[in-house]
Amino acid sequence: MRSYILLFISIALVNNFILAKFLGLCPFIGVSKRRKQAVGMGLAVIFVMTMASAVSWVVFEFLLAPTEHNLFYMLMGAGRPASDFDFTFLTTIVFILVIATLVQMVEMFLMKVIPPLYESLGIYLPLITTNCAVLGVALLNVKDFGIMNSLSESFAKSVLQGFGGGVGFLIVIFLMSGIREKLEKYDIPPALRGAPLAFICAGLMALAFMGFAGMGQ
Amino acid sequence: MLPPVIILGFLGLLFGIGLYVASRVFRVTVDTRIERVERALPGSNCGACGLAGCHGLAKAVVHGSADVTSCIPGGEHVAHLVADIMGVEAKVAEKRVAVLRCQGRDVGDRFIYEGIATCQAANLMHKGPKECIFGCIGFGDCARACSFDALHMIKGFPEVDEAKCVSCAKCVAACPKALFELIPLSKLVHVRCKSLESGRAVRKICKVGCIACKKCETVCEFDAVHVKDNLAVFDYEKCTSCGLCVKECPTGTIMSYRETRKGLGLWPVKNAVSGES
Amino acid sequence: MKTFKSGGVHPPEYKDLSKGAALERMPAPSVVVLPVSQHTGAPSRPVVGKGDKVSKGQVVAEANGFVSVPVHASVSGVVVAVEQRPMQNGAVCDHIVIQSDGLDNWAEGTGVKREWRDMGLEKIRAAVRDAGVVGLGGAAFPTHVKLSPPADRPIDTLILNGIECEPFLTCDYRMMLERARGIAEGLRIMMKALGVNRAIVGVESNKQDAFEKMRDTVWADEGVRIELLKVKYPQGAEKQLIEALTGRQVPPGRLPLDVGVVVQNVSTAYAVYDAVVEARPLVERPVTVTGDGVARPANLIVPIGALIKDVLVRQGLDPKTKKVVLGGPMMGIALPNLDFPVVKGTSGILAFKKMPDFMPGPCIRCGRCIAVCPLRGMAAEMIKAIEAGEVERYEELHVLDCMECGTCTFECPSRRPIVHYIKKAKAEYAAWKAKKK
Repeated sequence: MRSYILLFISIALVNNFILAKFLGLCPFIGVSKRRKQAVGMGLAVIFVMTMASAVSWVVFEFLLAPTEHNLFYMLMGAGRPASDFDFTFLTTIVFILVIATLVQMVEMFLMKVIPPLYESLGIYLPLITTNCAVLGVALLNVKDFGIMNSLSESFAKSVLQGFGGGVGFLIVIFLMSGIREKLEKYDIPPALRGAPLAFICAGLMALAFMGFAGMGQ
Repeated sequence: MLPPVIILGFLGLLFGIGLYVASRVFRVTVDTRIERVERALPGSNCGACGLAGCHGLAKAVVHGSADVTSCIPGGEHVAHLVADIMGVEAKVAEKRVAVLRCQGRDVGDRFIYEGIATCQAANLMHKGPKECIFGCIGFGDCARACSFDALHMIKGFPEVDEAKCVSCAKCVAACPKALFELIPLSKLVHVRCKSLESGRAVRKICKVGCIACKKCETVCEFDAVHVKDNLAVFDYEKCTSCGLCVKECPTGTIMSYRETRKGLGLWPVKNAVSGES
Repeated sequence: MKTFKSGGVHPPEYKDLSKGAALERMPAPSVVVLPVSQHTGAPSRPVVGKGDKVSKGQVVAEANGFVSVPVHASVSGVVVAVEQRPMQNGAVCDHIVIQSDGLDNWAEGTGVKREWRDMGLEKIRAAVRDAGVVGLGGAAFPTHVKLSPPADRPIDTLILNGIECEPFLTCDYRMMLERARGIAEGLRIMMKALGVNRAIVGVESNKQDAFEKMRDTVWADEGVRIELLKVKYPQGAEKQLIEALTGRQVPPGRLPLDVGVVVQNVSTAYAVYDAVVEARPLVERPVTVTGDGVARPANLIVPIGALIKDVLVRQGLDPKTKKVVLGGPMMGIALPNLDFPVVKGTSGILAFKKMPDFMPGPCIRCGRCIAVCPLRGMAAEMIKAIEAGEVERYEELHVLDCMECGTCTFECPSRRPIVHYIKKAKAEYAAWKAKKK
């Protein structure tokens, strides 16, 4: 249990995707101008990251990884070592396929059920697809929990890491949107207005989040 | 060699089917006209139509709650484009411009004003620091409100650039003295004063204010000018812009815009579609 | 010593200029100008016309509805005009101009002594209304309305406001020193009208002698307590006074009677006494005339309608005077000219020769305005929204609940005109609300 809590805290705060790993900066800067938009984007990312973690875990474990439960090994591998069936070179492209599909479904869902959010997110919704944060969490799961003894633990931790990554993203983008909403009204030199000042603020926030270092493992 | 092909092929097929199913479940009918109308609009989101930006107007036009001519800044050109998309005729009203009903550049101050430098704030203090309580205060709320670069403060007094004015009415709302009026371009003569004070009182504080001498009323052949409450008022239905009152007005309060509009190419007004003048 | 909990500032008092001046009655000026709208509520209706002869205390404009009071002539003479003129707040209303005949003849029926203990509640309230009594602390709310609380809002405490927290003003102080008996009688009458047996008189600690005078005039077994309060602006504001004396907080948008309290100014109490016992209508009021622009600062009893010009000239107006303020320096209104009359709500006339020389700067986000606001408002946030013109947000930011006490403006190191922004925002909001309907 403890390891799960620490894992969650680690991926949400200590090794936050935006402020510690610098992944997912495009939607972070692009959608953090309004709090409502930021929350919507954050929730969408949580959903995509969690589902992507789950589905990509399944695909990786049963189709790509050189382990005993690889389907190809089980079907054709009599007499050959499991390591013969190493298809991990397909990881990137397969994961992108998975993520793209998921995001498309989220888009369709939003367009039907919450049209205002769909319209306000605009181009940034499909950008979750090419977002390095989502691919990043999938690949991180592979690195951390890809080859493990307990399948269920590996699955649980992968999904939790995906969920935690999304929560961390939501926290930071919401904080940033609160700051940017207020910044809008101040007398900012023209050269710094918009993205430049947002990046400076993000840098300061990253410094602040460094305070979490050392928590957990 | 075979497994990777199977993997990708299988996954592609699976996800393809999944997406197809999702697209049926989450089917949304979108009227493509909304996007086309929105592209035809100017895109400045000025709000003159009273709706939430150009997208809001596009939706309203397609749903039928707004007329194809609703975009005032877009004028005739946009009205025709939108009408084409919607497949209807555009009945375009005559182009209007903002006219400033004051010429009091040199009116003095009644008291020293030490508050916020906006017309609306100054108007709260005893109707403004100027000696004429009906006239322009001069802090430029109107110029700041104009998003079409058509209103500028020249030496503390607003000047309308009639070529750029799209009659969006932002200046009308911004002026606390309600000095701006949107009047059709073909009407060339205007009374540039709104003071209801007696002639003697006006003369003391402003050289170009209306003194209600009634010369304009006397000379007008079309019964279009009348002096009411110490102010000359035009009936634009009857006015033919002949300019006789302009010559008679002793203070220069009544002005003709004929020469300036001719110079800018705004007059005579060409009205291609409706045939009305 | 008791005080209100949140915010407050300590502006320099400048009360020494007029503290020692005993109340002095100003003789009738040659002309008085009486606006029909001197109170909060519906403007009164003129009932005299040009050429009518009037006596002092005669009704010249009658009340228009429940929340309205009549206006009385403050001199005897002839009405020379009933005309529209601008008021202090910029709006326009009818003004009744009377030329005095110098005789000061009181109208019939005034000055007849009455025994208020024999009068029923309705008669007392009618006497207060017919005398045109309004709150003399500045808000000018019709007193008879305050003394007639609705049945579903029981009142248990009457508070008498002897705070006078505005700098320069000393008229309430002198009233307490010299007319404590009348004030105490007025207090008793109001307690009867409200049906309360508990009253608290609040006096700031810079008026120790007034405190003692009041304490010696009202007896403890009458249910009246006199309390000394810490000197802090704006202790004299209704809600702050209630909080300091009873601990009850009036929520924004609500009235003192929602927490069972009614607050009245000490001068109002005296006016109630005058109205009920002496049957004299409200035709004069104490006014502090002070500042470095008058040679003889004084606390005058001024006839309502006297022109500011006449009052100031009488006290030696310096021609180098640059600014004249009606009321106190924190909440008063600066005048564009001196042709305005003294009205029922005028508690002070300040004339200044020396003006501070500064330009407002940008907001430096120091937060001092937020720290000192007695209503716990966030002035810095409000100003940001007002500058951006975000009318829809004014209500949630409580811009409309601001009482414009001026504490934030006084404290701002950048000298920003915060109260002016609030006034502008309230006007903007009213226009926006009207358009939305």
